[in-house]
Amino acid sequence: MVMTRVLPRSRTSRLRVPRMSALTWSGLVLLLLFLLLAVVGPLVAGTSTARTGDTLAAPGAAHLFGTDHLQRDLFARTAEGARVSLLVAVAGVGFGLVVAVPAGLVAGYFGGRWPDDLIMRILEALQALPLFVFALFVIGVTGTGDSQIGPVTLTSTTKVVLLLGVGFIPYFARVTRSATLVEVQEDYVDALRVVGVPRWRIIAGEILVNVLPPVLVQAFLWIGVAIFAESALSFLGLGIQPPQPSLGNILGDATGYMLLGAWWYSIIPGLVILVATIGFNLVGDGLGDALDADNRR
Amino acid sequence: MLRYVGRRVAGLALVLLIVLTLVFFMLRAAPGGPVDAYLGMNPTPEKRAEVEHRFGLDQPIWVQYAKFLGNLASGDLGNSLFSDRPVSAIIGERLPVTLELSLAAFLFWVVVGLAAGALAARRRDSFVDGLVRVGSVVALSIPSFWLALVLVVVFGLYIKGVLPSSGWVPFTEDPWENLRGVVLPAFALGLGSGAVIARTLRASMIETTRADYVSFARAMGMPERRVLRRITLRNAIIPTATVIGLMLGVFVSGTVLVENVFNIPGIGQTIVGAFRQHDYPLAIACTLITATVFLVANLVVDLLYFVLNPRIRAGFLNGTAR
Repeated sequence: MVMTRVLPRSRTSRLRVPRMSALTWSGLVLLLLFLLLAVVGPLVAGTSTARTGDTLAAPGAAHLFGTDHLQRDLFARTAEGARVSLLVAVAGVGFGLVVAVPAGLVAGYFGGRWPDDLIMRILEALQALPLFVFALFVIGVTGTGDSQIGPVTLTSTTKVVLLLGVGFIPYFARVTRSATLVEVQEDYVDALRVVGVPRWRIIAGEILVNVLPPVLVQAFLWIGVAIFAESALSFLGLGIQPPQPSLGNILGDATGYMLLGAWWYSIIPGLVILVATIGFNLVGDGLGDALDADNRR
Repeated sequence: MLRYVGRRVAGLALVLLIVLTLVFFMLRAAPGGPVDAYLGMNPTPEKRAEVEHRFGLDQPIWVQYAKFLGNLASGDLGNSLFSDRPVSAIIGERLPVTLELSLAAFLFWVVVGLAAGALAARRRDSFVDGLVRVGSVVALSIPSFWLALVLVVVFGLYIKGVLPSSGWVPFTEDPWENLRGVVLPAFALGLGSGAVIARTLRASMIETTRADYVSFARAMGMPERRVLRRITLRNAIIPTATVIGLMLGVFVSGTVLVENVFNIPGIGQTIVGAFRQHDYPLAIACTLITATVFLVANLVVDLLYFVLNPRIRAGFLNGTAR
């Protein structure tokens, strides 16, 4: 197409492989460890609900992470829980993006005019709600079981995904909007307008590609937050419901046994959350730095 | 300035009203209402009608809503469906506990966070700096409730008797025990925020050191200590103040988790219990209290901007700032 020649920036290779700091490297290692546990772990560990015959056994050769009060192998449960927590977090962030990116694009494109004002006011109202209390409230009210909304059945897991996503929308939309505000000033947008490209094609086709990198970096950082938020809700018994393990509800179960000497029950799943959040934080920071350096060039 | 404050307070009131309305209608639309929870198994229809009448649940929903707002405006939060005590009395007991815990965490971690951040920025790339950088990333990634669990295991199982790891002694009963009891929960509650403060202060101090006015002050022969205190720190504190303000918002969710682990009878423990028991009035009051604290904290942070930053203040008075 002729149109693409007007573009000042190439679409490909915006993110070169950057020189990474030691912190980013260690983040990458932690992240890979977590992914290994979440993706490969469930395949090698067997079922997470099987009884092993050992009650509250300490970690050892037979049970890498020990067993819980129902004789279940904690390695299998932690691996399965890590997988569930990761999926829920990614789905939540994904849902947030799907809503927030179009909203941010529209707001940024019409910067200062009424669509922008309207979207920003809604986002402000959403942001004024404390996310966690909001989630607590919604789940507290609709119950931890399945909810029927018209023809749609929402499982407790779906509810957590949606709530996480809703909570993230204001943050993602703001990043998208501010990137769009800058992008709209570029000459190529005027050029496209002049030659008569429809507005929606400019937004969806050209601006979108250029604002995505900073948005995706933010989204990546928020996966760590989502893992934390999911585990916090499940810890209180308001998130993922048993027998489906999640990192949070394993810890919730562990509270009853922590003073019986079963330290591994509450320590190890928490360490997994820690590894995941540090990993996402460090790699996300590294990606952000790389992007900044790239833009300065 | 006054007009701005007025507009923000009006906005806050509007958001609160939206929150209240949402809360009210969602609670009413929910399955497993308070009457079911109150009556227990297999209630007779007569008994049900009587209880519904007692709580005014047999009136049209709009009447209930108007009454609800009216009562709220007059400060009457109703009675708890479970203990049948006035909700305001329960909140009056629980809120000070949460506030004491939050205040302790706030004071301790603001001081530690600022000290760590300033130290790291001053000795950039030293061992201390490395320690603060790595330590703060780890610290801000630790889930507060997990840290709380670890502390309970360590202090309840391995080093017993040093610090209490569960329960709460009111200050009026035994001040010393009360203060001992607040140490561990406050530590767990504020660690992440302390780390963010340290990181923010470090980054913005390093950023300000690069500014022209700092080079100018140095070139004019101002002693390094004075440059640091009078110029670098003063300018770097502005972004840090935002983070410190946001801490209060983080505490809103943090106290829910930490109080539940340490078995502390504050608002956080109450809110979870109230939702589990479908105790409408108590749940509404707790949500309202936490939402208000959150909104007020955000407002205070925004206003602090004006107090701390002369440039924004001047720009605002000239009508250039939005």
